[in-house]
Amino acid sequence: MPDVRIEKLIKRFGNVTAIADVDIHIPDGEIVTLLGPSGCGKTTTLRCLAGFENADEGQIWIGDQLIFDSKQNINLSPQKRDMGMVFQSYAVWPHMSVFENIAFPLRIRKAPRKEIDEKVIRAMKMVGIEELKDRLPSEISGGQQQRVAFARAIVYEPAVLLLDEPLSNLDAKLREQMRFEILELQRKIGITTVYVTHDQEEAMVLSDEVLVMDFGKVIQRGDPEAIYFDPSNEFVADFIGKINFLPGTVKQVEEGASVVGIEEGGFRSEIHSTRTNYPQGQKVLASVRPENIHIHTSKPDQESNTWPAKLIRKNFLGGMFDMVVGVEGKELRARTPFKVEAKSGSEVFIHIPPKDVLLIHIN
Amino acid sequence: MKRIMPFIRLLARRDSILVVVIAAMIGVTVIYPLSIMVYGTFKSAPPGEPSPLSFDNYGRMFSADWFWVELGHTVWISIGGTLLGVFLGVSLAWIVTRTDTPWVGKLEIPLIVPFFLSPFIGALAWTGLASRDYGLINGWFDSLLGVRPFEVFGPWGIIWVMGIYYSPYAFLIVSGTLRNMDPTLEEAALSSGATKPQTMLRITLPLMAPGILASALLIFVAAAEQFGIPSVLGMNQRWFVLTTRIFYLLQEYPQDYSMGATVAMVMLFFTGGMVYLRNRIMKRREFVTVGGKSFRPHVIPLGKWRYFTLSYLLAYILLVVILPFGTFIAISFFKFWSIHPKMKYLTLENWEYILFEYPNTWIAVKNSLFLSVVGAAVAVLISAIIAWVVVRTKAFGKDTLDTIATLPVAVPGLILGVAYMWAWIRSPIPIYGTIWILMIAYVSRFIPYSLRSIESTLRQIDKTLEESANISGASWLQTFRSVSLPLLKPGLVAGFILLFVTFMRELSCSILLYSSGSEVMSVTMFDLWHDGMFPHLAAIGTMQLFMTAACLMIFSWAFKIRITEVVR
Repeated sequence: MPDVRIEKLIKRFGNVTAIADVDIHIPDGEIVTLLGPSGCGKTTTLRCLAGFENADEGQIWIGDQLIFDSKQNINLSPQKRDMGMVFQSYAVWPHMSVFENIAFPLRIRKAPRKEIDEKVIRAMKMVGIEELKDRLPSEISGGQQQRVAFARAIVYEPAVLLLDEPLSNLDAKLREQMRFEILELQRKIGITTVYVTHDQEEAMVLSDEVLVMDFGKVIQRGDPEAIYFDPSNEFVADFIGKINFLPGTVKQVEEGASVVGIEEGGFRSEIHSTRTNYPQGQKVLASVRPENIHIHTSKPDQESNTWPAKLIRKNFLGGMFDMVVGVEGKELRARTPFKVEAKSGSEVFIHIPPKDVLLIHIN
Repeated sequence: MKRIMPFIRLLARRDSILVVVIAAMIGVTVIYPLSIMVYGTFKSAPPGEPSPLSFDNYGRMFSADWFWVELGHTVWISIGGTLLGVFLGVSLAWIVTRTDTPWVGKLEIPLIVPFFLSPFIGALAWTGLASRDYGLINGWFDSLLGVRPFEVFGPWGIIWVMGIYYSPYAFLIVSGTLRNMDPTLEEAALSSGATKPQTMLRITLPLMAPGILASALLIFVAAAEQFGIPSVLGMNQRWFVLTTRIFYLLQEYPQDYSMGATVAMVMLFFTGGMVYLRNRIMKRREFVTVGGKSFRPHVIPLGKWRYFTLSYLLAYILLVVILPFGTFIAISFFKFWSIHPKMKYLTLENWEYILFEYPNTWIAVKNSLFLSVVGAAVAVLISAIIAWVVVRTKAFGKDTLDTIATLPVAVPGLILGVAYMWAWIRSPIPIYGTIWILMIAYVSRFIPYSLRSIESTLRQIDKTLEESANISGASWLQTFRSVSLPLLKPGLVAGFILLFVTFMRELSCSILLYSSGSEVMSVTMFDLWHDGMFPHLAAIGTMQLFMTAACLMIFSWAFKIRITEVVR
């Protein structure tokens, strides 16, 4: 299986820039997710890759084949790109049976009848719909249509698989199940895959690498854990998971530890972090995930990063407590799977381990 | 008693009363007259006179040569008109929605103009273009090559005029299908390796099939029941189809009402069968092809060929709108019309005569306007009530109501006229020969059209919008007035405008039901045609064209709706 390279891609619609100079590399056999809010350019990028949109500038390579180049006027039509695509709307043809839908790409390729039968049956088995063979799309459920679309996209063993928010029309439970199935299938076939979604959980579960996009740019790339634990800027930190921001200035940097002076509302204090990625004087956001704020009913042993606080609100979500604590007028979000004895309105202490304090620079 | 009570309580609900009232109305205006007509087919005496009952009429009809010949004619022109109309409509729809032909945006309005034009006037106008004796185009060929290649009178002329004036139906239906088609269905084919022509052939075309079939059946029925075109282009040459034969039987001395009714029965079976077939096929083949998020549909770059497709569009507009209607208007200013119209025959006398001397002009104008505006409003109001009962209530018998109200779709206008003649020509209720019988005929004949469009609009309005009005204390009438009606407005206005245009040009019902004082403009033109006063009728036709256009502009301004939305 080849890799895919997108180089310096630019796409404008009128005077709106949908993709602004994007470079993406999808290594052979991996699954890469384009993640971002609607309008961030992720779907447009995918459609440029598929050949349904023509980029204004840039190059696209599959392996060592150049399939798009604005300068040399190279633009392979979609049917020659050897890609499989699953659409958000599934795009299962209503006038063909399940079998015919899946067989279509093979018929186009003039495969012998026997091979068609074999491959279609194999693809149907792979996605678990062999009993639906002769049904019409109107006679099967949304989840089943989704599987038909998937089988149709892989039946001819294309070099690259493109998935455009394939799960967004399914209900929550099925969606969760399909994530694993897609991942498992992708691993089994080993096909180079580009997955577009606005659902961060989906991206976390599915990807070898996540590319977070906003305003037509790739903001950060990395494996799911890196994206979550080391967001490179405010947007990524905020978009992926939940986070508390404490704006301040780096006061002191030494071996393996920084001290940030926080000034927000009545909350004036120093917060310690094990990160040392910014020099003294740099304005930063000390950022803390809710699960890293520990609630104590009595004063804990640690001196640093410990504050008396008020438990403003406590909600039990089933499996976890979601809380809002107030520290000198600043409200922070905290979460824990452990039982919290304190009642809403009571006085507590919070502690934030320095290793869990991220520093993100303020532009 | 105990067992009957729930039934009585069900009937006592207001919506159920509404069902009964409307069903009774349709019963009196459609089912009763048709039954009398059926009864008439077994009689040998005219309406109102006693006679023994027998199958003689059927025997006479089936053994008559003319019947089989004219049935053949009807099928012939219907098939011909359908093929031409569908071919034109589909090709236009494809060019407009799927190619990069220049000016397509600008041509949007000219392309829907034929939809509003009267096919009857179209036929009259085309005689001025392609009659062998006085057709302008023949004149051009005559002076260039010394031949007159065209003759609009006869079957080919009928097929030509039917095809071009019914093509808008296919154009609108098919371009709707093409516009609403989820583009990812085609993209999925392209990315699975199909070329554009392969995608076109194996995905797009099959998805268009229901639309093409629907428009073909629609045109087929419309062509079979057409009266205006074959009466202008066939009757004087004694080239009959079933509709013109019925008219002939009822109007020419000695009138044969029974035979008229019997031939009408055949027509009724014919169109009824086709409508039934259409409903069956449509139910089975309706695809939901509207997808979630939609990018613009795929446009095929035609390269140099796009100038060819542009010329095709322009030629269509030229041949369907500009040439015939330009000629028609011009004819009203000529003393004589010939293959080489001469400037010295230019005159205003026709207009003087029509405007100031001809006694029927202003009666017809008044009647046409009254029937079109008031009739369309009444029909839309009744349709809205029926649609609301059918879609929104659990009223007893609402589905039956829906079926009965849609029934007139299968009744050709001329046949409804025959039925009304039979039912009311000798009736003690003095309605025959008044303008009210025309009103009733128009409204009951065309309710199905507005009903269908209003029903579909209503189905798209979320029920909870009305329920929240209910829960906040509004009665069903208040809810209808303050929530449903405003939301329905676009559908209502579109229905009103469509019916207005239809009523303005209505001929086939009116021609049997009018009498002195209740003439409408189309009938006046028909009379003048048979008196050989072509330039004079062209003046009235021109008035009809401009009145329709002016009213459309007024409605579009008053109701804040674009004309292109009306036909969607």
